[in-house]
Formats: sequence, structure tokens, C-alpha cells
Amino acid sequence: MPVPASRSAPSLRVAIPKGRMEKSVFAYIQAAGYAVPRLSDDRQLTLMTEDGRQEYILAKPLDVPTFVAHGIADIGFVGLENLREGNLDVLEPFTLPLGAWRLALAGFPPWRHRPLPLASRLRVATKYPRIASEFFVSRGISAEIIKLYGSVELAPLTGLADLILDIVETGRTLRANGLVELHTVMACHMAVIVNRSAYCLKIEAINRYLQALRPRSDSEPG
Amino acid sequence: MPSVTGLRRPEAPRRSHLPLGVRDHLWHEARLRRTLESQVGASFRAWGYHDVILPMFEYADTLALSLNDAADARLYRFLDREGRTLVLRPDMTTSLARLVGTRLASVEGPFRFCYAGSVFRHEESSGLGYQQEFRQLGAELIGADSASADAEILAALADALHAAQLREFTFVLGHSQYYHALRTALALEPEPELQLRRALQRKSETALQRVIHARRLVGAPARALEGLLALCGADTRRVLDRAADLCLNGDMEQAVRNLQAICESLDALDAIEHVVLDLAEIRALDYYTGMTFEALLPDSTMIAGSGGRYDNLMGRFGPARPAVGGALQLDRLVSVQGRAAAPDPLRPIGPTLLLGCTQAPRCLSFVRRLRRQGIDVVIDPDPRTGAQLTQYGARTGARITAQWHTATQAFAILHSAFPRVTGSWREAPLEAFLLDATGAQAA
Repeated sequence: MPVPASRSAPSLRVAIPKGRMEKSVFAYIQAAGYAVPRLSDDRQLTLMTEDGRQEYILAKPLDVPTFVAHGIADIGFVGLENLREGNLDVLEPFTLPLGAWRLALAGFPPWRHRPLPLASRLRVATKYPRIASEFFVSRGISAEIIKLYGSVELAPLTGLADLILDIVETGRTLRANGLVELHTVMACHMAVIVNRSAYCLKIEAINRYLQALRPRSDSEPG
Repeated sequence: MPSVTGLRRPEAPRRSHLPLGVRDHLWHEARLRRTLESQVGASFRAWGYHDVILPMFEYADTLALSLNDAADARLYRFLDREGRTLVLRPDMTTSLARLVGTRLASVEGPFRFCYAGSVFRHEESSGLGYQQEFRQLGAELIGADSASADAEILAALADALHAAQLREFTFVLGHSQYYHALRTALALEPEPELQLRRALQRKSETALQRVIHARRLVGAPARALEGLLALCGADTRRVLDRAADLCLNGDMEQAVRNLQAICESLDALDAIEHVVLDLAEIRALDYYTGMTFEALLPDSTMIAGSGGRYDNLMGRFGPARPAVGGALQLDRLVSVQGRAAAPDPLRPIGPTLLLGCTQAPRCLSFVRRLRRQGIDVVIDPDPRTGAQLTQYGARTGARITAQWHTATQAFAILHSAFPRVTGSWREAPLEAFLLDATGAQAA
């Protein structure tokens, strides 16, 4: 149930992806001139800034678009891979120059020389079944997508799947497991997303926040 | 596309399950829906819009005429006995266009129609819940092309929302001609045009820049695209001034002037406070020809209503006529209204008066008189003891539970929600009290 926003002081609710990117997103917000809440260790999931102007929600990265699409959060920060996997109707004004990673197809070295369209009964393990399906369907390759929730590298090692489609940052995990990167499916950035209705209903507050966050340089990532 | 989100459909439908996306409404919620419908309908009628009742299904050839591929894929289709394809109506406007274009072809307009009815669509894309039956309350003005006609529809919908006790709402106004003319000015090929549409739908500055770079746009065209996403705000004059600065041809200028005129009319009709402009809003582009709008309610992310000008639809069925219209989504009104108003939806609505089983002619004629005056009375069909009847009354939420005593020719009150009503009551004072109490309730 949406929490009634107080009319007098329109405060923004912002969803932050917990974990890997949490610290750098907060650092970016702070550098943009907005207050960030003090992070405590007591596993609190909603945090108010001290001036009471913004409330931050700490959500699982894949859940950030859900909180924004339903209007619980007005604004959210989410990696492009999680945004596309969720496929929800949200606005995505720009991406931030934060981190660099990609969604890539990987497998054992012999797969380098096997054309994917000729593979029969291709099995692909991934945490991103929608993106994986779209990738293969749009290329006319029939692949069986196996959804896993973590440690995707286990799939080729144990024979569960031929290939994996997963996040690659440095490639260290792949190398440690004897896997090689075969194809970049998507270059990923941290995207800023906005609820469609909130954009019209709280346009002033949201635009101020976005203006502060908007990357200065003209160079477009990707 | 293989289904990877298999959670949406239960594997085996059972007799006790409803198909996903349709719902039962009962008791308090059903009453709230009916009340809102009649309030909205009465409000439309006060603007001179009168009811039209359209068939639930028609030939696919008729209803699919105005649809794009995405909308076409969401139709509910079935066959009649001759094997012709029928569809459940996905909107009301096309049926209305068929009616006006055929039966009313020789009748001079303009026509003002209002309707309340369900439309059906396979709806899977929004990610905000799953719905397939949508109850729409709409108004259409056919045969008028001026800016004041557009403003009239918006003001009538604003009044309808007021009639439904919704005071805080926003109309997000756009203009499809502004984008159409911009596209013409840029002479974009289909593929970059699609990228541009996607960029605008997501308000993605990154994707918009990509289109500008890829097309090597510079100067005025580049500025027109870069400035598009900023053409949004409640200060209509400022937004329209900026929009006018970005115009690349006469059609864009005309669209801005048209919006300007609509805003002036809305100001005169005292409805401008509800308007936010957004010229980058490009919903249902192939359908609308002028002003478009979406209605938003606070704390509800789903669109509460939508509409716009569609001057090309009528001509497909008969004489060309300009038309503008819009519809409210009853479910959205109910969910915002009901959050405050409705008590536990799954409690039956008790009668005002519950009487123990009786055949006494004098009592029955009294009950008839009460019912004719709109007071709801239930006579228990089963004989029960006084204690059982009291319990039954409490369980069903009756306001007054009583028993007719032939010996005293009076009602013995067993239980009452009104402190004054106790002991034994004769017909006349009881009738007077009930009229007063229920009359006070309605006021």
C-alpha cells in the first residue's frame, strides 16, 4: 500500500540496490550534493536523511524496478541488466558512470570455435532468463534456458548446462573455473529510473534531484 | 517468445478458480462501484452527454480495424457458428464509431455520448498486476473539432471525478501532432524512428542522444530533439513557450497553438489547475490525431483514465467526422476511493429492518409500504425463536431486529443499533423514525 506522501513537504523515496553497488551509489548521491542517510548495522531497510527530505529504501537489485514501477519509490538506481530482466514500465532518463560490467555468454574454451546457431540442444544457465531468451530467440537459436539463483559457473562444471549467461566484471571468476567469455550480450551501467506517474505529479522535486545527479560530461557511455 | 515468467497462469484451472485478470465484486465494494458509476453518469448527463449501450462483442473485421499489432495481439477472439471471427470489445470507441458511421450516417451532429461498460484485453505487459476485464466510464463528443471541444471533454471528466469525490487528480496533456510533425521534419527512416519512440517512451536522455549522434543531427533539429524531454510541467505557458521555440515546421507550430487554445478554454472552465503538459508523451500515436491525455490520481501509479482527439476513426465506417473523447477506469477510482471509504469488503450489508417470520397481513402491508419508500426490509423465511432471531440479526448486521406481535398489533424490538429504538413500537412511529434515520444516512 503506497504510503501517503505528506503534502506540505514533498519528500522523495529512492530505492537503492543493496550489496555490491550500494556504497558507490550513496557516494555518488553525496557528491551530487544530496544528503545521504547514516548507514547503521542494524539491518534497517528504510532510512530517512537527517533533514527528512528523502527516504531511502534498500532493496535487492532485481527488486528496485518493482518498487519504482509500483510507485513505492519515486526514483531508483538499478543495473541495466536487472532493469531489462524485470522489463517493467519505468522511465530511465540516464545512466551513471559508476562501475563497468557486462552481461556475457561464457563456456569452456572449445565453444570458441563452435557456431552457436549450429549447436543442437543448447542449454544455458543464467540468473537472467528473460534476457537470455530474448538473446537466443532474436538470433533464431533454440536454447533451453535454465534459471539459477547463484553460482552460475557451477552449471557447466557439473554438466547442468553447456553455457552460462552472467555478469562479468574482471573475468576472474570465469578464469578460476576454466571458462572463457564468448560473447558480450549487454554492456551494463547503473541506470537512474523514475516512476512514470510520479514524474508528472512531483515533477519539481524529481527534476531537481535528477539535475544534481545528471553526469556532467558529454561523453556517452556505451 | 518462450514464457519464462510461468508464475502468472495456474497449471490446471479448477472449478473454484477464476481465470486470471477477472474479479468478483460484492457487497460494499459492488455498491461503491455502482454508486461511482451512477455519480459519474449523472455528471456526464449534466454536460448533455447521453447514454449509449453497445454490444459486448462484434466481428473482428469491425473492432480490429483501428488497432496496431500490439493491441491486435491482445484481443479476445472466438468463432461464431459460421466460423466468422468475433472479438470481445477492446474499447468502446470503435463500436461507437461503427454505430455513428452506419446507423447515424445521415443524422447531423454533433453527438454527445456517454457509456459505462467492460472492455477486454489480454494484458500482460504492465507488470503492475494482471487484469483482463476493465470497466470504463467514458464520454465522446463526435462532430466538433475546435479546441473548446477538447477542453469540454477534459472539463466533463474533471467534473465526473469531482462527482466521484475525487478532488486531487492530474491530467497529463500531450499532442500527437507535435511528434508527428517533428518526425516529418526530421525525415527519419522507420528504424531510427522506432528508436526515437522507445527513447521518448522511457524518457531516456541516453537513448535520445544516441539517435541524435547516429543521425548526425545538428542545429535546430538536434535542439528540437534534445529539448523534447524538458517539455513537461504544470506551468503551461512556460512549457508552450519552450515548445514554440523548438518548432521545425508549421504543423508543430499549429500543435502548440492548439494546445495553447485548449489550455485557455480549460482556464475559462476552471479546470487548468489539474493540467500538466508533457509533449514527449507519445501514447497510441497511430490512433490519436491531436490532443491526448492521461488522468492520474495521487498515490496510484496506474492510469485512472485516458483519451484524446481521433479525427480519422469515424471516416473508416461512414462520413468523416472529427471526434474527441476519454474514459475513466472504474477500478482505479474504486481503489483510491475505497481505500478511505469501504469497510471490510467481505462483510454482508445488513438490512435496515429484519423481521421474524410472519404472515400477518397488517405487518406485510406495512413492510410493502416501507419498501416502496426505499427502506430495505428482510422478513426471515424460517421460523426462529426470539433468541435465534436476535443472533441472526447480529450476524447479518441488521440495524433493527424485531418481531410482529399480532396480539398487541406492534413490533417487539429485539435488537437495535439506535439507542432510542427499544421495547415495543407501533407502525406509524417506527415508519417515521426509519424514514428519518435512513434519510439522514443518505444526506
